[in-house]
Amino acid sequence: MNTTHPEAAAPLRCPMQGEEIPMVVDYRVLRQVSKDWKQFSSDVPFRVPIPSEEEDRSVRQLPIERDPPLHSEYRKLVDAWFKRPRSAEFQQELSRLIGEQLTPRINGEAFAAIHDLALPIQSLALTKLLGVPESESERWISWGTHVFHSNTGEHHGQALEDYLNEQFDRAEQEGGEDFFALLSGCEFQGRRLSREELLGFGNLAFAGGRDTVINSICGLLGHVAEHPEDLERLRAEPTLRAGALEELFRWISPVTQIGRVCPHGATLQGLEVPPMGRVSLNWARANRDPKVFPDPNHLDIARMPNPHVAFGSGPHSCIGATHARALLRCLLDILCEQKLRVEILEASREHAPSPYHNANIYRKLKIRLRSSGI
Amino acid sequence: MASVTFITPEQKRITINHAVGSLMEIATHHDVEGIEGACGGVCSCATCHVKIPAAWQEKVGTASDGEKAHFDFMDNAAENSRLCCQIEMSEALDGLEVEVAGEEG
Ligand code: HEM
Ligand code: HEM
Repeated sequence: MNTTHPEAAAPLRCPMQGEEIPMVVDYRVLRQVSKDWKQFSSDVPFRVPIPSEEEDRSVRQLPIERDPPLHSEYRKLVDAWFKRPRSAEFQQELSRLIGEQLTPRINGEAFAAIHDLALPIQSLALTKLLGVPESESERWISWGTHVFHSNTGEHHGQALEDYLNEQFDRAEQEGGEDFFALLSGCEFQGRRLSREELLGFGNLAFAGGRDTVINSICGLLGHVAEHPEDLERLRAEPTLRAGALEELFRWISPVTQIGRVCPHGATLQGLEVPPMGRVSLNWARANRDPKVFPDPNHLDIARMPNPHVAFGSGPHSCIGATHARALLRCLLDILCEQKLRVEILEASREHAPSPYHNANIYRKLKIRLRSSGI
Repeated sequence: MASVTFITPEQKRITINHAVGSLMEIATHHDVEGIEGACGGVCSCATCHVKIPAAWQEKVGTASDGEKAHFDFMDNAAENSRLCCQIEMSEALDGLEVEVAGEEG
């Protein structure tokens, strides 16, 4: 593949775990690399995320840590399930549960938006996505905002794995209508999925949709607090809402970067990657490529064109995007229709220890919710 | 009322009569395979990619900048590619046929 374009931004070189990893930041190059799975493979357990996660889990995540054509077969098993958030019934449930979290806070005390609002909304919405009782969310919430590591350094990977084993045991014995029963009942290449494969799917359903959704919720709240005029405009012009959320996803880019491994080595924009060497795809930086997004650091709710890659690109593009989009849309609709105002009392964003980090993620966000006019 | 036919990559023909709204909305309401409309119709994804047969190109019109922003980066895009969220069904398009582009590569 020719990844050399005269005006392409050069990859960054990131020292990581004893390796120097080239990080793709150019939009065009990133789109090419992300579909070239033969050279830039995902078929490497624990090594798609950078830093690698062999310390955090014991199973290969599915479908993400496989390449086509096997990847496509795995993905087909759950494709229709992950599209359920498109239905009106599903969206009504999302609106109800988001409303139940917001309503008691309106005109009340200030609160920690990450822990007391975004985390419960994310967890309750996930019960809908997985088709399990809402009460399950209590246990997930007790794991904190990160599935694998909390800010105290305590590890939660084992808690998740124990939980998933319980769920698959139950599903195998009792059947049911939820995500766990769907997976344990389905046929794959003429056989049932192994426990390891089941855990691989389960693990990613929790890991992929947690921080990402929490950061998106907080990003939306933070933005409308700082730019009430944008919320006002979206209230008056509902047709702008879908595009505004796409712009929010671009601007936040909740998944900063993710890795690929080059089984046979590769040449990337003139850099040699050794066999089994890693490459990082930085979605967040590509989303700020000025050649594609003029004035890239500005969040323009009416930006057009906006071919962002916040949900990835190529065969692995996010299967949870339907859910994430539906959830954020319900939240935005409620903020608009109930004429809510968000006030920030205290906020800090992630301070970048390196140029690779995403600066748009709140570490702390204390807010108050008001109904307009008060 | 106007009708539209989607031709899938497997050459299956799905005809929808009394079609209203954008082609993406029409296709997703009728579960036309290969049309997802993930971003809700604002050209931020390219999951509603269709190709317009020569006979219809003039009436349907050419791609906007929002659509072209994707086609530049897609191997299976061609001159007659459109994102069908940007095509509004109308009486003038009665009898329209479009080919669903399907997955890349
Ligand atoms: C010496 C360099 C680095 C330091 C000191 C550092 C430090 C950190 C710290 C403290 C966190 C927060 C951990 C947490 O709360 O979960 C973090 C998160 C992260 N780091 Fe690094 N990091 C470095 C280099 C890198 C590099 C080179 C990459 C990518 C190739 C990277 C990618 C990430 C990602 C994706 C996250 C998760 C962001 C989030 O969701 O909060 N880091 N890093
Ligand atoms: C705003 C929220 C989200 C963002 C920004 C996001 C972002 C991404 C990105 C960039 C990828 C591509 C990874 C790669 O190329 O290796 C991805 C894949 C994936 N995401 Fe998400 N995600 C979000 C929400 C979710 C949710 C809610 C779920 C599920 C509950 C989820 C599950 C997955 C899975 C299973 C994959 C792998 C798909 C595959 O390999 O075919 N994500 N996501």
